[in-house]
Amino acid sequence: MTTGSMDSDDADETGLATARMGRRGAPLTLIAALTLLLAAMMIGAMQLGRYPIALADIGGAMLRLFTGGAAAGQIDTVLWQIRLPRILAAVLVGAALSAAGAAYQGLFRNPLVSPDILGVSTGAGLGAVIGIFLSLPVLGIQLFAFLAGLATVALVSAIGLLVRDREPILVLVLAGVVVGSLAGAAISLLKILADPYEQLPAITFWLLGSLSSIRNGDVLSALPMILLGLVPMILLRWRINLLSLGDEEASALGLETHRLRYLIIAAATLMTASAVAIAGVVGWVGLILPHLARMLVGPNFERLLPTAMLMGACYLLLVDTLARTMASIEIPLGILTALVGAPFFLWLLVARRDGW
Amino acid sequence: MNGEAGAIAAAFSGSLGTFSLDVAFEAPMRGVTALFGPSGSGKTTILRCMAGLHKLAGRLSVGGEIWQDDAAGIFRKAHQRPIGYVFQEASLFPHLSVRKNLLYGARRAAKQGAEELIREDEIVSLLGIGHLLGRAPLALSGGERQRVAVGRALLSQPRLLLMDEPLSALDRMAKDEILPYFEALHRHLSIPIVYVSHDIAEVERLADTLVLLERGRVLAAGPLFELEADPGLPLLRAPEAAVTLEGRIASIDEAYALTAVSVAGGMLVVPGIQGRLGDARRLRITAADVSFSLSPPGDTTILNCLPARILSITGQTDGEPQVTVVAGLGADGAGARIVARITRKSLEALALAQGSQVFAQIKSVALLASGA
Repeated sequence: MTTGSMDSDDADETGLATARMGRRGAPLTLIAALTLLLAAMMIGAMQLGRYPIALADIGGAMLRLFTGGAAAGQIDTVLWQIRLPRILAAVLVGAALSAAGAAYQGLFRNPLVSPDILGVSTGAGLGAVIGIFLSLPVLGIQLFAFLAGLATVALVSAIGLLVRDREPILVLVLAGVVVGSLAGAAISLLKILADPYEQLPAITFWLLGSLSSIRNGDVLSALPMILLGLVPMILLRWRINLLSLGDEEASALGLETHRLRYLIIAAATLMTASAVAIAGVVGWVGLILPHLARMLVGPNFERLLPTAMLMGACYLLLVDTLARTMASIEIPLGILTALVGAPFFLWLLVARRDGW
Repeated sequence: MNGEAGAIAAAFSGSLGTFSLDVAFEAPMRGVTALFGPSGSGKTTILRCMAGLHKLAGRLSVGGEIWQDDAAGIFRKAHQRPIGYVFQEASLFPHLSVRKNLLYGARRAAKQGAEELIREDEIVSLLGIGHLLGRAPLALSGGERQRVAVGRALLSQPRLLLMDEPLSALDRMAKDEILPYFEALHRHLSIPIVYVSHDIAEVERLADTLVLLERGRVLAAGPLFELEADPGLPLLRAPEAAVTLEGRIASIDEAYALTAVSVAGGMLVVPGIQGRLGDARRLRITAADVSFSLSPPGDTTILNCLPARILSITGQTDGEPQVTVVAGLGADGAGARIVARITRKSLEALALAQGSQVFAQIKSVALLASGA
């Protein structure tokens, strides 16, 4: 749709917002506030860690970066080689998982789905475990995770196409659950076969999700893939709203939505698999954050997408900062996100059965 | 097939699992055609085939336009057919207000250069949704949502409106609330509607043409009042057999608050002031409320006593207490048909037979709704 129609939507929906829940303020203000919050959190996270860095030192290091001054040893190394890549990865992975979750929830017209719904996370997990099992280098593990994630979705979609005459969404979801549990079984098998001293800890740690070994190269390898998945979502954000109707209702209104649906599934999968490839399996982010975002700005994907991405970024940055500073050992991300996510999911199930 | 240009001609056959469908029927390009039958009779499948949501072998032409013709390799997909489709449960765009939902249909129609035969203000007033326009779909009741969905479907300027048991997801109260709006649509719009229902009460109120289905076959298709009085069909055999009659208000008795409606072959009186002279009304007479006498009854409290001629008698077998009689109003029996259920004893006592001249006493005439 054109920008012109967006403006008229905005004008019209101010009244709707007040009539509906009264908590949808001007979304631009919210997005600006979230952006500021994220920036503040990033600067805060740069200071925190085993090796605390004062704000002034960060400023100095940044200045040196632009003026080309001589590096001040350890501070620059920690900041540019370890801390900043990790912060950027948290932001990127959080935003990607949350965007993918928002898209999946819209596509499947079901508030309780997440990037795990098509078996994507588990599939990508299997790919990475195979990579670790074969003692591949980090890049190889990522590539395997990514390819296996895409293969899972391709398999699930193929099952969906084969089973005709059934509710297509239900078939896809069930196929995702089945394929996901098959991948889970394969992972268990590999864990039994893996070298218990070298490979098993790596596999376990990876399956729980962690950003502890992130380097600049990882961020740079994931970024283009995530952006590639994001582009169709941004370009088609208005049409993604139409998918909330379901294919039959849409086609009765004269819309052809099958191709759009598959395109967006592919895009969301690409983002999920790229995120899983560098961060391991970080559950729950793609479920909770899109939900909170929807509560704030409503189901309009045009507003939902940026809000969910910013909130996902803030959330994962917060969790990852906690993970590396809370205890003397690294706490895997999957544990922390599950501790928050599982109760939230139950609350959704029990309290918000009225739909979304 | 004759007169296809002004008709909907459908023929579908195929099987879905253990269920096989083989139907062919014609319906006029105006008024409401009801696909009626028990569940499992295939009515929703037929509707989905007409919409292009489901593909079975067959042929479909709507007002002379071919939408499916296997022989010619034509199959227009659902989104390429100018239809409005109302599902059992309405799903509206959750991110748009009611008004934006309505306009969504209109905007697409305008883009495709469709002639604007159905106007927004007209639809809003016919469906009584003016006060809902600014609301979000989540804030609507089931009946309100369904009315908005119907409005959205109509504003896309379809050539054919398909409704799949649009009331089945609603409770009794919501149904009673919404039916008058559907009747208003029927009365004011010229667009043909195909309406799936398993509820005879809905059919009696809305339908002009009936396609009677059973286990994937068409038992009969034709005008509602003809099929209701057809001795060969299950409608007449049912305990609650009734006929519907179309008429116009011919006179109003303000002193006694009575309305006389003229139907083919006679005049029927219904209690209350039911409109203005000339208004179209639809009446319903159940078989249990009709009795016959051979001479004009004298002192009786029954207002409606009309000459009629017996057209058929069915169920006249030993051991059966009652028989079913179809009579035509008017001395020649050429008027509207009514049905009666009388005892076999009375039948033999009065020596009634096909062609007998009788006087039909109608104890009660129900005003269904305003007809077409």
